[in-house]
Amino acid sequence: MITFKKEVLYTKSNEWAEKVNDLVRVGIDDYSQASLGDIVHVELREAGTHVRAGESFGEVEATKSVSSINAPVSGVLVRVNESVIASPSLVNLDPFGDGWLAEISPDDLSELSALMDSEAYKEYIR
Amino acid sequence: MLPTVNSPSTDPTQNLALEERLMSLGREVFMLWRNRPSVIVGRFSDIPAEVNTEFAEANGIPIIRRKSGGGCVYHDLGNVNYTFIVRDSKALTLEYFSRRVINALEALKINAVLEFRHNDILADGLKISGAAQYHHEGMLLHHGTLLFDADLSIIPKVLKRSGKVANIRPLLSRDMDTEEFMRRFSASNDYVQERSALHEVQRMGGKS
Repeated sequence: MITFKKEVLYTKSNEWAEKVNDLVRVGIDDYSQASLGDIVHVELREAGTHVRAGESFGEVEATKSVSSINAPVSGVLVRVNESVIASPSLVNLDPFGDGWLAEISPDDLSELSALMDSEAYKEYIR
Repeated sequence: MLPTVNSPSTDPTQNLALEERLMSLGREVFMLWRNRPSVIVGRFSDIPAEVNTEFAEANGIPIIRRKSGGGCVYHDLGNVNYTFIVRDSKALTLEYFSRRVINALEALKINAVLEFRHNDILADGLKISGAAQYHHEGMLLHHGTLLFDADLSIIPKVLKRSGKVANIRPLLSRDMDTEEFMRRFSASNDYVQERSALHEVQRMGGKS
């Protein structure tokens, strides 16, 4: 059973984004973690790096399969979740919670309006 | 059928770069290639833990990192590599392509079976083929090895962790050389044509 969190927005490449104060917190969604399978490695670009919307800011490896993770909005990567780097299985266990990947200080918050809400996303991946 | 690229190079660095370039162009292709003796390591492989680097260096075997996941493998001219570069979709799992490869091997009367844990392909319980994937910017690179006539004696010397492997050539009912095997194996490309055609139908149906 795939979970869709209502409070977040979704990208076409299966990331979620949530506005937390002035930052945008990013992760991969439940559908994505379920189809990837057991995640064994997470690598994220260093805090301080500027990323553009749609650009890769890290990679996850599930069994024999590496996937790029794309930034939902442009901005500076201000914080990466060290817990998922130490324990990649957190992404499988709690993709919208403790399995978050990074926080971006957005250049332009209006870029969020290009993302899908959970209803639109459900339709998109159906 | 996808356009086929038969790489003229046996240089592992050049072949891996060619894969990446074709992927970045966003074009769907099927590629067949061989590398001269080399160790190709996964995106996050721990080289000192997995490769006997002293042996590799003493024998002039380069160690080269690929973009896809998985562990370390030994390549030589008796190992055939195939690559599918296609637009990504969740249906295109490791198993999806492994099934196609098994079908192509069965057409050569090889009794190949899928090992689910790692998606390796086995014959008589021994690994003859492995595969890995790299998903990036809407494209998927799925590539794999086919041990056809490789020098298997090198593998336990150069890799610290190696499973039980076998060559395909001794399993054939009619012998052929590596070049002929590569031509015949290209048949696995046909299955992607079916997939592309299916997607086309679904897309047209969905839009109307």
